[in-house]
Amino acid sequence: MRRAWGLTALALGTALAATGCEPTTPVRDCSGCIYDFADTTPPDTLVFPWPASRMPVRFYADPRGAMPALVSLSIAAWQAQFLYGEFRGVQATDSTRADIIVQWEAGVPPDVTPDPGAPVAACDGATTNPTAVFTDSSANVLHVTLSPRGGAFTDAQVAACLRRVVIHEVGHALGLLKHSPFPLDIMNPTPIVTLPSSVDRRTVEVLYHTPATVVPPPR
Amino acid sequence: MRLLIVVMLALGALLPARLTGQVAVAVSAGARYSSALVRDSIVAPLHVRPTLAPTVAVTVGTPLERGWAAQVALDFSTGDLRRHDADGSIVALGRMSTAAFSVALNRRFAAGFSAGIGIGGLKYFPGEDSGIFRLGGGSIAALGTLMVSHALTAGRSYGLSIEARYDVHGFTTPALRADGFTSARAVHRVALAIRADRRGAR
Repeated sequence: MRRAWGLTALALGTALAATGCEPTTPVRDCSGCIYDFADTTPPDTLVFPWPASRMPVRFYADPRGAMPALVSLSIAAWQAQFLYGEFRGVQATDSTRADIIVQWEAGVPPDVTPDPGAPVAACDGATTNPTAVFTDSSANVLHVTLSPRGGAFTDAQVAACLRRVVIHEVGHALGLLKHSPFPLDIMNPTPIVTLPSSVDRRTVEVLYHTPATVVPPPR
Repeated sequence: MRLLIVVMLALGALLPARLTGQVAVAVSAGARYSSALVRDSIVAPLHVRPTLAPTVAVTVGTPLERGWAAQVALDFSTGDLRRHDADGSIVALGRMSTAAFSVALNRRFAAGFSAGIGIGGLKYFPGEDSGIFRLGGGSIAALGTLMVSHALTAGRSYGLSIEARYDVHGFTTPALRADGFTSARAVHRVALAIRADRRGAR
């Protein structure tokens, strides 16, 4: 019996020793690990993350074409970047109760399977600057617009472009106010990747733990 | 807590009146404290920790010799997960449950005390696949346990005792590893529970 007790104690001691090490946490703010996300209006530095009190952020998607699916994709893409619940988004059915409205600027492109080939800039997107909206006006909703670009692009190329650009524009609406200088980041001015990169992830993580200087009005 | 007491009494009532051979079954219910699952620093330090969680355990044991007993336990607890920021703010991260099994050696001492030591495994079951659990709850973690109990004089006819259970395991998830956490963090848990024993015929 003493032997059994000893073996169990040994096993417990081994388990304790195995779990006793402090894990190394990832480095997020090293040089080149993140890009600048704050807007600068000298002498002010404008930092805008959606506050915890405004979670989940409510998105209204233009119901035409692929927009609801594109917005759903962008919410999921950004939510997946956070470890600690800093951002959550939901789709709202009522545009008057939305925080962010995503709509087509002009015509509605066909909802087709995206082209899997090399990325081409077959679409455009724009987002109202949160710091301008929440600082200088009484408006409390951000607008994101998407549009297919004219030219010799196939519907599939436009669809593939829209998947990248909607994530990029929603990144702006979440507070990534600047563009990334790195070509493989979704927040590069001309995104060629389909999802946020590890640099995008670290940047948005740091943004959502940086004290805000611009705060949206309470709901 | 009231719900736990009801659950414990209900489970106790379901135990067979006469257990075969030398088998003893016990049900316990109480509350569990857990240390932080994750400590991190993004601009400022933060940690993620479960709230005080209700817990229920079922133990099956068989006496060996000279006051010793071998036990197998199944333990379940559920609670909320919260992020604690350096500025004192707390953000709810949803619900999370754990299930653990263990095999232990237990010994009775004088004055109604008993103590045990064991090993086993533990698994996390997140309420939703997001945040640190966005890639799932991870594999079964090795678990070490210690327990101490004391028979309650008032509840002797019901086999009641008060029990303290301590366990330790290493916590990590696929999402944490993907984000650059290199190893598991030791998570210490302490549960205080009321235990009802029903012994088999001798």
